[in-house]
Amino acid sequence: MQDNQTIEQPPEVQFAGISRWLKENLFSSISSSILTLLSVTAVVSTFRSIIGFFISPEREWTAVTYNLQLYMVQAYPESDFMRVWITVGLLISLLGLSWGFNSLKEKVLVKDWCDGLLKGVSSFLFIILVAPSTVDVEGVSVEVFNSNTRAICFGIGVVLIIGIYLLRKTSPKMEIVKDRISFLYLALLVSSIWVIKVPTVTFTESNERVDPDPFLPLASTTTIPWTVIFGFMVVAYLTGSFLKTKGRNSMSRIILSSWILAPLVIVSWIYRKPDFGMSNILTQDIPIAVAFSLLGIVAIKTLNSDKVIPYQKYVTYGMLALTAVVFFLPVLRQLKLLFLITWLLVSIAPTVANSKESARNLSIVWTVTVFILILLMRGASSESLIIVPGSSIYGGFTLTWLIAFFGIAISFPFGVVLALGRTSKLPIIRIICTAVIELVRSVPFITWLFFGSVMLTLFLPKGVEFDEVLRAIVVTAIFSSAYLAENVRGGLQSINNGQFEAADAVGLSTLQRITLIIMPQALRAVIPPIVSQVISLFKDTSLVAIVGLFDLLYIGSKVIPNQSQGANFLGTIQENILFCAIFYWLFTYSFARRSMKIEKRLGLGER
Amino acid sequence: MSIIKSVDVKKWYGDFQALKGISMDVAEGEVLVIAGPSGSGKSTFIRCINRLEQHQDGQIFVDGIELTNDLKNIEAIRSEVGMVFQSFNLFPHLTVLQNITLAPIWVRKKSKTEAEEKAMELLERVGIPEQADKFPGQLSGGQQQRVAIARALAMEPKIMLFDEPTSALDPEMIKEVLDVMKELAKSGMTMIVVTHEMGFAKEVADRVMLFDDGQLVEENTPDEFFNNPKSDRTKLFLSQIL
Repeated sequence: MQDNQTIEQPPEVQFAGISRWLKENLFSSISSSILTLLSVTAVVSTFRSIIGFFISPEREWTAVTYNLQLYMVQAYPESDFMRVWITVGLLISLLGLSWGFNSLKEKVLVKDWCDGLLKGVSSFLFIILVAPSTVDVEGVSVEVFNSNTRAICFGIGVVLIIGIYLLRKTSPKMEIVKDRISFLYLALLVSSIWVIKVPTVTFTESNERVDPDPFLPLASTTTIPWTVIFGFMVVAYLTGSFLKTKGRNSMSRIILSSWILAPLVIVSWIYRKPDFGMSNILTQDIPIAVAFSLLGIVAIKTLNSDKVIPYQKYVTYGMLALTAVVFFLPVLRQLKLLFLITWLLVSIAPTVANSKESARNLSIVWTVTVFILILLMRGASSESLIIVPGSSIYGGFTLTWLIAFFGIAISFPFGVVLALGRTSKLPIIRIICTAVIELVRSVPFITWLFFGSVMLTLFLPKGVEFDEVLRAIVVTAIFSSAYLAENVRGGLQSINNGQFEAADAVGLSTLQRITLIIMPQALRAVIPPIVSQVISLFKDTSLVAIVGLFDLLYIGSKVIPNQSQGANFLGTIQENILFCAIFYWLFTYSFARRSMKIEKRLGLGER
Repeated sequence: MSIIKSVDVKKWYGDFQALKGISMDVAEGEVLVIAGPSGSGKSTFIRCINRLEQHQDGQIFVDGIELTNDLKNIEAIRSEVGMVFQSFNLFPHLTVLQNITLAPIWVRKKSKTEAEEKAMELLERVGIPEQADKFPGQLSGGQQQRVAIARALAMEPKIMLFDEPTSALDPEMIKEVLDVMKELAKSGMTMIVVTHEMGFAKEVADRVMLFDDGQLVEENTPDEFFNNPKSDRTKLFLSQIL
């Protein structure tokens, strides 16, 4: 509208020089000068002692570096590590694909990027400067950081700062795609694992541990897979970007369903190494899948033909009755599930597949779903060929990840349903949902874990037994959904009544109103509390140790500090707990960062 | 033939009686303006017509269908009756185009391209085709209200209800919304407009009604209503607002 007017820019803020900045911000009055000096002293001495703690010769970091495998997969047999790498590779490639597809290709000024880098290098210089050169070990002062090393590190920092400063000067207006910077960092990380050396336990010929531990490069069994996975990620990213430029919008649905399927495929096929038995698949699964997909397609066709339309209701009721009957018959579990989803199909088919095109789409979706479900169930119900004596095959970070991911993923739909139920106008549903939420919330998580571990079996029919990990996941999901429901309810209440009226006025049905208008807005409003909940759930997974599962923290706090055979790591609890803390922090902090970005993106043009 | 007919409609909020027996009818293609002081029940009445409020006594027929608790009837009527609100009530998480195409796609089961073509046509008609990909929060009040009109029209309704469409707008923006409404009236749409814009009533309305205290006080042609009102209440009302 105002294209032809010249737009006046605000005056640029000039940097008035260091002395003036110091005076204005740090030494503006006597009391502020005192405060500044005090806090600088406090920060420096704290950092000194923390760094001293880290580099003291008393610390045995080998306990961490030697046990990384234990931390990640616990007792998973080494002969099948390929499965672990496939799992990691699959997830990271998927990440790359959706990153490439969804990336906004945001650009950042090289100037701003350099500013960030300068901050990073300055912190590095600060650490180098304040690091103590000697540390007291049992009353004796030991040199840990000699002045030569300090000078070299300082020199590197200064060179970096000059380099970055020059880059900043020479290209003030240049822009760079943010994703490229991220890939640069990742590439640096991956190449660093080829050169980095870590302390490792070695033994002499007489089987005595060499002291001190020598620094050795990482084994090729670690470096090669990571490099290959990085390559896959880059390829996936480029594929995603390419598909985006081609305008393949159906890809977004495919990527979403891959995200839902990937963990299931990993858990039932890859990680467990199930004993498939080709004969079972050929004689049972394939015929059942073909039969049910044909049944579904016929149902979609006939239900929408003019003759059957008046009887749609009775078909749905009949199917429900049949499902109930099948449920109590001693047949394959696959069949029970298939009858259930066939009932779902016949109840949604009349509304969803009312045109030729949508009927065809629904048929395709149905066939694919049936086949995938059958194969997943075959994988999950087959005997696992990986046997870990004395514990579950899931342990360490794998377990933490598994419980957190499925706990959150399962609790989401349940939480939303509970929230809707609690705000519903139907009294019975409202009372039930309120009761469930209040009951679950008012009992401690640990109690629920015990309940799942010890008492759940009493409530289940004889012969039905859950794996300990599955029980922990179920309990986590139930617990988390009660909290999630309350968060979502907060979002629901924040929505203006006018939105309900507008949705009604344009003729949307109740279900459409909730899914298209109310829920998207309600969930958007409660992203911050939901993210805090996800973060706290991720950390709370460490409580499953209480029912005998070996999660990351349990390995760090109990297992490694008690290793006395072979490499002796008795009492290395400080190092291990610190490592766990940093590990948790890395993940939770990246969730938080991610959610900030999502909020920013969704807030676009809102209100 | 009347397209809307109400017989002795009564409504209470708790003990307070908001509508004290309203009987009226609207012919097809007619433009009816309802005026009246705040709290006179005029908004409540038109909100009863598409069942955003439930009347407790009496009958309302829209296009020959009686409004009852039967959900099928309510949905049928709502898709025939478009509504424009005082506070716009656009969906803030959807773009302008998505706001307009949502109901045609999900309720009328139109294909996306068809719905979008129609939506662009309507945006042309209300004069803001260039705003199609913006979010409601990025538009001015007048533009938002015009989008709301386009959203209601996208369902191809037989009747349009306007509930104080200009009350939340700056004086400068009122005109752009009224212009759209005038154009709509000329195209032969059946309209019920609750408004304080007496200029609009004079120029466009076929009939003007005055509500007071839940009752229909006067019903007249605009000419008679403004120049020669029957009741004293109307005279008082006109003397206060003109």
